[in-house]
Amino acid sequence: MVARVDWRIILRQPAGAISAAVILVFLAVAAFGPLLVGGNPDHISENILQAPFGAFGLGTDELGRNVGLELFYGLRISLLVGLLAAASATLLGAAVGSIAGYFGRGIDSLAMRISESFQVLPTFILAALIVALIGAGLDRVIAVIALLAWPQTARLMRAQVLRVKQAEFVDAARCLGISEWAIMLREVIPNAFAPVLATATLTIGDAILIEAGLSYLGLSDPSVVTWGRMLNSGQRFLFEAWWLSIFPGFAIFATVLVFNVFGDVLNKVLNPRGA
Amino acid sequence: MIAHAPVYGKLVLQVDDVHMTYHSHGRIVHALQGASLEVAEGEAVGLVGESGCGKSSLGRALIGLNPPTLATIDSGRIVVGGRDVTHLPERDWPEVRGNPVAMVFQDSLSFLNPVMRIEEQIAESVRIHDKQADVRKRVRELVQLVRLPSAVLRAYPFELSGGMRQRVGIAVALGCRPRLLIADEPTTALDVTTQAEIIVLIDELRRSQGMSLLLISHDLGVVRSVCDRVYIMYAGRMVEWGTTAEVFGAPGHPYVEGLLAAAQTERQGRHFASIKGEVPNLSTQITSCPFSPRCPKAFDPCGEMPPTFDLDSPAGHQVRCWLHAPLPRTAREGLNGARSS
Repeated sequence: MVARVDWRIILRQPAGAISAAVILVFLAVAAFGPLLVGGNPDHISENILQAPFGAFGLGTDELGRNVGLELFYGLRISLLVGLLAAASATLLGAAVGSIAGYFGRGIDSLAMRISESFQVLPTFILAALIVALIGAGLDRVIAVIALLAWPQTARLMRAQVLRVKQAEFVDAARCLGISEWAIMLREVIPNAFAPVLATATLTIGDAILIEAGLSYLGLSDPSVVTWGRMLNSGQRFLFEAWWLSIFPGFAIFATVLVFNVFGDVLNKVLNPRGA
Repeated sequence: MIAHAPVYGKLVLQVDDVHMTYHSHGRIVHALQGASLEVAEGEAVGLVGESGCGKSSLGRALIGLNPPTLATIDSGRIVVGGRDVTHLPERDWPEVRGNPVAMVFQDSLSFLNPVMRIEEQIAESVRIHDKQADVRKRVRELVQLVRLPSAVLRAYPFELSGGMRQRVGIAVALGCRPRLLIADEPTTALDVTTQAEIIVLIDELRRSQGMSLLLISHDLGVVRSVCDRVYIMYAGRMVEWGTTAEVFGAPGHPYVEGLLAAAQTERQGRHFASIKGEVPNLSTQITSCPFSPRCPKAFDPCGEMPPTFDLDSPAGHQVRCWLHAPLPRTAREGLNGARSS
């Protein structure tokens, strides 16, 4: 039971249709691309630092690895981290925001003070610090990003729940003798959730960016290919092999952009007040 | 407080001298100042009054919808289906809501969950109150009862007309198998022809389902056409009540006379007859007859104290007005003389 979204309104806008299409392509490539293309991104060859658009697709790096293949696998990681981190942050934020907004009083004040204290901290530095302390690893990176991103969702959800719980159909449901928890789950949350969906999409972009930043700093699992790590190792050859930096950089830029554009379109459709 | 002259049979609702106040940001509103009301099993009772007289506050109190942080019942008693709910804690209200008492609301768009199909909304009430029932079958039955095509089951509220949504609201309420149905201005948001259909439907269902009905309305015609008895409310209390025929046929309170005159001119299309003045401010407890500032017939005692006496009426017709004080005329005049000297 999720809020109904009229996808036709979103797809009728060029920005919405294009970003939705690109996201679908990205998802398909991430899911099936490596299977179709085959090959191992870690495969080392003697063809080092080959320029792109020749025999080696998007070129090779200093160890002779295929940049195009690495980008494919990097997309997987970026999307995985982005989607899982955004989903966890949204779930956590929506749960905290719903309970705070619906039951109010002490729980509300407590949840809002906690979320405020998270919001005044510089997200990226904190993420880097935590990962540096607890060690790198995809699961930890996802958890840290989710932990830092939930307060925004929680505050939005709380505001929505505060609005929806005053609606007459909530009183009407109460008149049927439905318990408060059931009212929150069945009546209030489905009607409060739509704007949160837009924020969740924007969170995906943020999460991808944070992940790229962390792995650029070397705070990611060294055994997986990520765009951030490609950037890091590419910068040493910035003048000799521009493609090692430009392609992963552009990949990060494009991925974050489409999620943000899609999130903005969703936001416009789902948040009529332009919040 | 209430004169128990006629025998109505078993009561499903008893409101006895209820005083209720709203507290909001330091402001206090005495919304109910001695409201009393009774509804017997199978009876249709009207509750009439103008905006702000407290009729909706009373209706919401009967089903526990006034937020406990804002509204407190200071004295009096509310008994619903034999259970005293005056100070019922929030966690126990689900045992009362739906059955014995269910509610139909005014604005037919806002009382249905906008993202839930009609079938699911009706099923919700059946599942809670009719544990043995075959939910799908019962939902279909209810939709037939309110004379909607079964196609509406797949629809969302915004796809239905106002009249259809109001029928859905009635079906949801009936799904609870209530003993008392409270209808709070059920037709106010509808156009005139639809109003009549909905009122006829509610009236029929009350009879066929053996429910009692408390119809809250400011529409005298609607109340007159379906209610056995009627209470006229003013400034948080009842000023006149009795059988519909008595109250509308021979009103005793100048306020009720004024209301009926206004309704009369409306029907005849003449220039509106209106009651001069405004509804009293309820931020204080009113210690006189609340209508006296607007009353064309006010005399000395009206400003002194509220009329609280009972009349000796075989049919239970009560008028809370000093004009009808059961004192000998000479004593009343003596009182006047004493007061004015």
